[in-house]
Amino acid sequence: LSDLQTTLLPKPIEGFQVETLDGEVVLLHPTRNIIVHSNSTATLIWKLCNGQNTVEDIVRILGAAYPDARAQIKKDVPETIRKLMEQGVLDGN
Amino acid sequence: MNDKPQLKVSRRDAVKILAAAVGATALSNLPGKWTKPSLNVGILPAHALTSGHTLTVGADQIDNFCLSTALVSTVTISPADPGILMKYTIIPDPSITISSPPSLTGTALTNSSGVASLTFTAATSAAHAVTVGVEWEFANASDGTGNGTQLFTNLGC
Repeated sequence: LSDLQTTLLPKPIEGFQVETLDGEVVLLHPTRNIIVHSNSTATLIWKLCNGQNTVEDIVRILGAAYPDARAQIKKDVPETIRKLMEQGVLDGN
Repeated sequence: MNDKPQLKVSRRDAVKILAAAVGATALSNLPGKWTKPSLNVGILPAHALTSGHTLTVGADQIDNFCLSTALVSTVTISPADPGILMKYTIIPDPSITISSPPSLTGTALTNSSGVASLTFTAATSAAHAVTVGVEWEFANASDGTGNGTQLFTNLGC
């Protein structure tokens, strides 16, 4: 993780409608015509992006919840957050 | 950048934090093991979008319709858009006769102010208070969400 990524405080961008089904989430932005489907683990990451957890916090929380996958989580969390930011779902400022 | 102190998180704490994040009722939906996160991003076709309209029905009214009387029910959508098809259902007390329109259900289009209206004719001879309701909803769910009922009450003849 780069220093920038670990200290970001990602938070949801407003305007998305959220539909949850069996732990997976569909995010729908009516005016931007965008729809994002995330599986259960991507949903966990998105839900922890509340503007209070840093990327590093999220890695640590998920790493503690899934200790067998710590190394993978360390790679997956910043990658997923970056994708969500690129799609305009998360704000990292 | 921020100066937050680093969290030390036990598995128990992590589950608590996740429960708070996903909601306690959804805790059972937590994945049992970690799988690669995946995101599928798409662009919706225009016809698949919901417009986000909501509706507000007109205020309830006290009327005298002991004699056959034309009553007007209205619904206003927000944001205002013309040409949105609204469905109405007239729900009269059994002692009320609706002489028009011929069917108790139908549709009406909104005007440029986002208002759709229904003129219906009601009559009753009941000595006690009776009510007819007009329920409004979007004819097409893709146009918006919600419903509401405007009540018209005759206090007695």
